[in-house]
Amino acid sequence: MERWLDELAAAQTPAARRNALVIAGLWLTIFATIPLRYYLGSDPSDERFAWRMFSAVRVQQCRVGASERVHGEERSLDLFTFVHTAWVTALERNREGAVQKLLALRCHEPGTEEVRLVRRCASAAGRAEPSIVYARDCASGTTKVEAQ
Amino acid sequence: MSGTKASRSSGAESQAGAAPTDAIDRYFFGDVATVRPWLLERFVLVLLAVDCFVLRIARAGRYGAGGFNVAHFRWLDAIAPVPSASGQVHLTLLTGFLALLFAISRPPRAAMLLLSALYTYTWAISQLDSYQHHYLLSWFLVAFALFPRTETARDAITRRASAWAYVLVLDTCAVVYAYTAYSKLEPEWRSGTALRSIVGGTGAFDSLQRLGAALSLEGDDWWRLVGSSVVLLQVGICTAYVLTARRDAPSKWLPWAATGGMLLAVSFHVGAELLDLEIGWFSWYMIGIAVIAFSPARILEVVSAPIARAWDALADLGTPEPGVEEPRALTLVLLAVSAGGVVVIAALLDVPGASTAGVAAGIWLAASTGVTFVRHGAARARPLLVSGILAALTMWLCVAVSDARYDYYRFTGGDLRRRGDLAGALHAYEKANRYAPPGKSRQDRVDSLRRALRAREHRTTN
Repeated sequence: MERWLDELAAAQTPAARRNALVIAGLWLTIFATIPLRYYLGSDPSDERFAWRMFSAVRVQQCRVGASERVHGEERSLDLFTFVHTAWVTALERNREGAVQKLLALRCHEPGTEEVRLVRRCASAAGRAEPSIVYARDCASGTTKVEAQ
Repeated sequence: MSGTKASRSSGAESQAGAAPTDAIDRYFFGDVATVRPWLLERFVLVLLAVDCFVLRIARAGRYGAGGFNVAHFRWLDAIAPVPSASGQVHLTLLTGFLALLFAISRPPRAAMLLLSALYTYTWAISQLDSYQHHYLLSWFLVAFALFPRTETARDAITRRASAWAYVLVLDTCAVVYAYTAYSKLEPEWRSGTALRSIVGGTGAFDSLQRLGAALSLEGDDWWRLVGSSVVLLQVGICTAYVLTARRDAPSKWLPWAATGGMLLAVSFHVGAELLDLEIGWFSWYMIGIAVIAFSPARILEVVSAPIARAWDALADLGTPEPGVEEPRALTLVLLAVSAGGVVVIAALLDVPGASTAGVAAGIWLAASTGVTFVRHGAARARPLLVSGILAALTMWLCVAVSDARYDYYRFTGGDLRRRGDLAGALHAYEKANRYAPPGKSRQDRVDSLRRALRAREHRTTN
């Protein structure tokens, strides 16, 4: 393998140059295509791999609050008591994976019937954005998402 | 374990081998001052290593806290275990050690691919690390496996040769800036609202604002102009990166374009640093890459000459005196001592996971040196051992003189306290105090936790 990599790196033969160009073409195509996942996708808050540093989405100021219904009784959740602060930040940024995992985790607690996560944001201009509410029914495992 | 035999001839062959024919050929395979890829590879590897030792270790305590984790990719979540703080320390230190070792030695190309895989795992395993430049560096590390190699550093910094993987790195940077520019076309950026929100009360743009006021450009108009100009700036940087692949071709205007590109890139990232944005060392990586890519080759050759001399001196350490044959046993003894030394140095770091990282690093060093010894003799093996010890000592120094351990333990203490593990928090804060900079002791936390634990114990016994 080392000799093949040496020849590819040097690209002195027509075959090596052809391989190099194929690799370069694939590389740039893949690298340039990955960010389109954001622009063609449905989640405007997940800016990973999209090179959107300090976008209008990123500068939003967001807070999350959580509550759950256990044995018919509603109670609020202090997220900091069971996940690291950094994950609370991820929830504030509406990271889908973190949201779903948190809701599933709380549903595993005995007696938990429903878990709700509410995300409130203000835009860069200070305008309140519609709140997003995730409500997971623990019995069915389905999560409803509402903008309020 | 070095694969440079083919590379010794690559530089000479490029002068006599197949010359680029069409434009694409010229773009990718035209001669480049090889000081650029040589310096860029070393710069990124060294900065990456120090980044691992100083910044990433500090934050490793959050991994696996409360058993909660989400990887960047669903398939990775499905197959990989939930990371732990000690596991993350282990992987991060090992990654940094290998990066530094590879920067000062001659690793096989395949080893660079392994480093890329290891480094990628350290960020991909958790969305706790969402720094986009870590993702970018993963790509660069793969490209480094295909950078030109020469027998000596002196050759590397004085030659011209084809370096298509280096051109690929430049084009990759161009794509990054293209998308960054595109993202700034949003109304909130063009209106200046987003930038105003970022700058806030930092005062970073005060002098520019005063200049604007002198030109009757104030308030919303000023912010709109500056916000919009960020787009143009990033388009300019993108264009410069594409063009600078041909920086070393004879041209009247390319040097000017390169200089312009460097000014734009450096000013943009220095500005980002002044805003104190929480982006890790992204700006420093990009400033370094810009300087290497856009500067005149002659300047880079002069600047890198002492580095190259040191690199060659290290590589020559194992060369025996003419006519003298040294006993193989001596090299084996040195191997054992060096590998053991790496283990001990890592253990002294006093961070969970550091000892196992030292063992892994020691095993790598021993194995790679052993293979090098068998294939190429003591002359190649011994410099690798010295490089390993140097890398380990640098690792220790970076962790010891920085706030990495203090931050690791105080962040861990804070998290454990919030999650109700008072005993664990007390232990963490006591450790943090051991490494606290002057005036930053967490003794108040230690005292309050001791009181809380005594009260809890009192309630339990009653």
